[in-house]
Amino acid sequence: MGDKPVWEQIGASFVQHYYQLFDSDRSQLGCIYIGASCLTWEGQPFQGKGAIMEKLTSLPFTKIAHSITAQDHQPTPDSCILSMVVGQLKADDDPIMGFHQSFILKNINDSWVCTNDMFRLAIHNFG
Amino acid sequence: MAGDVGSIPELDQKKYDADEQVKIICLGDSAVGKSKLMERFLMDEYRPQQLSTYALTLYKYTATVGNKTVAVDFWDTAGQERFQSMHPSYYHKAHACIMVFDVQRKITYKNLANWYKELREYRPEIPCCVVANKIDADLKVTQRSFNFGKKQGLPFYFVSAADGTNVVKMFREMIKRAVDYKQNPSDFMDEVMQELENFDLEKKEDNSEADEDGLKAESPELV
Repeated sequence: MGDKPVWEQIGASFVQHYYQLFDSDRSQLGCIYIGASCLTWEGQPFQGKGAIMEKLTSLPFTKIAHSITAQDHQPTPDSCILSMVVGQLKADDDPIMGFHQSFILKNINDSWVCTNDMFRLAIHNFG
Repeated sequence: MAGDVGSIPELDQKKYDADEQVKIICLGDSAVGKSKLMERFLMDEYRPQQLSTYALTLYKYTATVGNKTVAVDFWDTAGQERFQSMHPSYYHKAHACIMVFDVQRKITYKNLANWYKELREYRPEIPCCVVANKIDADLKVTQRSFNFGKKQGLPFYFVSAADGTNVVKMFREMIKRAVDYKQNPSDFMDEVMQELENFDLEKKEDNSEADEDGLKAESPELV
C-alpha cells in the first residue's frame, strides 16, 4: 500500500467508505457531498447535497450490496482525484446487475469530499 | 457473458411480427412478485434467460391457442426499474401487458397509474390486466375493492404466486388476449367491453377452472 501513489490510496479508501455506507445506511452519505456537488443518476441530474440525498434515500430497495470489480484513480491538474469504479450490485432479490460509477474528489479544509458523482447500470437495452 | 447472447436472435424484435410469436410484458414496482408469478406459471418448464448484460429476463413458453401453437416470450425486468425508468424498447412490439401490484403494499397499487400511463404512451391499444398478488398473506384483501382496473376497463385478478391461486387462469387468458390482439387489433376494444360485461360471471367460474389446472382452489369467494 505504501508504494502506491497518494491519489490511489485516497481514491481507494474513499471508494471503500462510500460503498460501505451505501450498503449499510445510505442516509449517512450526506457527509461526503457538499452544496456544489453534482450527481447524475442514470442520466438524471441532481445538484446539491439536499437533492442528492433525497434521490439516494428514495431509491426503492431495502437491501443493496455492491461488489467492486475494479477501480482506477488519477490526479487532476487542479489537485482533485478522478475515480472510476466498475462492479456488480444486487438489490433485494433481483438479479445481479453490473454498474459503473465515477467520482471527482476534492480536498476542502483537510477533508475529502465528492464534488461529482455519475452512476450507470451496465445493462443494454433492445433496439 | 456477452458470449451467451452471441446468437442474437433473442434480441431481434422483428420476430414478434411473425404470426406465431407474441410478446407479453410485465410491469409493476419492484418486489411485487413479477418474476415469482412467472416462475409459478411456468413451473418446471421454465428456462429464464437471464441475459445478464441486458435489462431483461426472458421467459419462453409454448402455448396452444385454438388449434395453433404459439411461442410466447414473457418479458420481465432485470430489476432496473429500481434505478431508472423503463427503456422504450421494453414496450416495443408488446402484444399484451400484465400489471402487477402487491396487496400488502399500498404504494405499489398507487403506482399502477404511473405504469399504466407509461404503457399507454408506447402501446395505446394492447390488452392489459391488473393483477393483485400475494393474497395468500391475508385473504381478507380479496373482499376489498381495487377500482383502478375497473376505471380503466381492465380485467382484474386476485392471485398468489406463492400458492398458485388464479395464476394459470390469468396467464392463459392473457396469452389468448395477446394472440387475439395480434390477429385482429381493431376489434380489441369491442372485446374488452364484452369481457367487462361478463366480468362478474367470470369471477364465479374461477373455482372450477382453477381445479382443472390443478391449482389450490383458494377462491376469494370461499373466504
